[in-house]
Amino acid sequence: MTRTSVGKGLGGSPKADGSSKADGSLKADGSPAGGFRQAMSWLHTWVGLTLGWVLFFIFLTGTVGYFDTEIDRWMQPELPQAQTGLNSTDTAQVLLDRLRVEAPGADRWFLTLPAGRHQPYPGIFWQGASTKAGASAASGELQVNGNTGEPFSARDTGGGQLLYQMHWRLHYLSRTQADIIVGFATMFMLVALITGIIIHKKIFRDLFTFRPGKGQRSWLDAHNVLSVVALPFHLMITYSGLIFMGFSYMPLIVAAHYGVDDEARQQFISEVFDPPGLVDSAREPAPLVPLGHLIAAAEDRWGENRVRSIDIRHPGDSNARIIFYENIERRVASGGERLIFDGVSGELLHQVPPATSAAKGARDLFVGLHEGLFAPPVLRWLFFFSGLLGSGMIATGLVLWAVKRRQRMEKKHSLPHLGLRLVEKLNVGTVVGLPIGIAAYFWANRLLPVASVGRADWEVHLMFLAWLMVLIHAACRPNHRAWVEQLAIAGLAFGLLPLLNLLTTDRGLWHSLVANDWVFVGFDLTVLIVGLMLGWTAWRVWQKRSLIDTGEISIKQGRSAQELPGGQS
Amino acid sequence: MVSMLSSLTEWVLGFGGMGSLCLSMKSHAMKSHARQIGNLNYRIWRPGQKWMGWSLLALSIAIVVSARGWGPGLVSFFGMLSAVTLLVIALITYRPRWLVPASLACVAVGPILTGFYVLF
Repeated sequence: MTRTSVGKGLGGSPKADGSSKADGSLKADGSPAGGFRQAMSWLHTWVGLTLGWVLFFIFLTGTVGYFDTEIDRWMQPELPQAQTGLNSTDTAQVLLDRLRVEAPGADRWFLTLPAGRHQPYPGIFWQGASTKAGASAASGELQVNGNTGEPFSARDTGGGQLLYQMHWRLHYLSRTQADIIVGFATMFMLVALITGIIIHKKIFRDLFTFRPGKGQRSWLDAHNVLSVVALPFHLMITYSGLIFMGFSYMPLIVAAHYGVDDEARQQFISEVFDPPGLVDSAREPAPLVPLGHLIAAAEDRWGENRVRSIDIRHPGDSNARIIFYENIERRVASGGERLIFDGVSGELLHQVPPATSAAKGARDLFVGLHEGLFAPPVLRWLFFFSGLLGSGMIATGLVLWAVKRRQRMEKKHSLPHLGLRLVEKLNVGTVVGLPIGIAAYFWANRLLPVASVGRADWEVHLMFLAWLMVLIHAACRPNHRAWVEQLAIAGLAFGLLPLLNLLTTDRGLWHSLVANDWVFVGFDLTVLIVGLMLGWTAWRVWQKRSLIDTGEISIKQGRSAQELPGGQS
Repeated sequence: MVSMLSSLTEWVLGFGGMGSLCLSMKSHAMKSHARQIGNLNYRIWRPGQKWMGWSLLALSIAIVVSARGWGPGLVSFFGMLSAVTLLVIALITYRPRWLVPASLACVAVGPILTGFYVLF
């Protein structure tokens, strides 16, 4: 099997070509063998291709999202290092004082304590405040310096949160449109995974097999390796992605029990997710109980500095309720325990376990696995790498589709049809174009004037504009040229980010190293390594091309122009 | 905090396990020049490597689950498995001769680390 040349493998019987995955649509030999597998292979090919580029976008932005908080912090270099480890009682008092100034008469005060990676700074959030009583806005959100009690001021940015949100909100689309597109894409992904497992005959035997420099065979090997090596992750992330929006995709189950209108739906959501025992405001003023005792009680139960946030409903009302949220780093399933206190007497009313039913427990487990919020640093990196493997799986699948057809076409000496050309252009413009867009987002963050109006919006606009330009570039240039040039641009765009950071802030790499600022060190080194790898790939692709130009490798050896980008993906 | 020792043990066992499983396959064994060992008795080498591989992986799961609990333990195990498998593939593809010593070293060191982990 290893000896089968690529040309033979294409036209030969499926038995000779042991791992002829996704070969179904090409059946040239008319072999009747493997009818079911043929059908699955066809399905795998087309389901994978149709929404492949959307899936690549979802996978890559979602992968970057595993470092959302770290990116947030890099994108707001004005903020100091994390303030975790402050005394909870003092911090809560500082935040409460700030809320009394910013949001008098509010329906809801929400205090975020700096409990760890996800919440590096204390913060407040409020709803329904009275501007007549002096509130700065009816609702708002602020990050507060836990030492001074003053709000932080930092540049306006979407940060890592926006980059992460993009992977299911698709940014420019409405929630409904995005839900439908992401839903179909996720379903397609699940089908592609399952059909992929069915048609891949020797999952374990081929697991360690990668044969570089063999054209189409190498792409197939790479696609198989990237898929199988992180298969548990791919299945988990895809299935849990569907679970996330189960209520949107299967609304009838809820509708059957609650009704179809928005109010009924809201009732269901609040029954499942809201803490129990919440009441409406009594409209009778009553002083809010001091938080000190409550925090002590919660920390007795959960451990020091393990209160994640404090949610005060109807502060200053006789029906006030205070909800304490436990930090989430100890279990895989999303969410922690909640404690609900009376906001006037301070009496503990309810103690709500993380999952209130088995069904919700299962949902929380999948959601928790998907988000990976519990993951400590090493595991977080593994989540990130698994996501990259998934993105690579999609990219190699897309390239494989084009390589196959390009090769068949060259054998017949026919011209590439429109579909093939379109796929080739979209491949380079997305697989390399999206990373360039992401780099542009970071460049925009540093280069747009700090005080300019709407700068956060423009950061994202520039990301998508950059991507658009790359797609146009891909359309205008010959394919191999497009790969080399774009890989080089991407390499520079990422590799020079640490330099840009050094020139535009006072938190360059050396400074961060000396200051033990691992978030900045990590970001700078990561983009530097990504840049070097992209640059190295560009060089390799360019080198192979020049070999072909000088005739050292002939096209007949099975190395067509399109398959050049890599051989080693 | 999960001790460094348990993580190290998990990874060493994982790499030794995946390396052994890879070397239990004839084509990979030939490529990595384990043939010299294999020629002694390929009939023993092959099942030996296979059993060794699966046992080390099982031991690795046991370690990580006992250190972190079922949930985070299994997640961590699968993440580790992806990483070491890629490493094994990279070695067998680009540096096949390195795989035998690397794998055997982990096979030797893994159980010793396990002993340390159980004792301390």
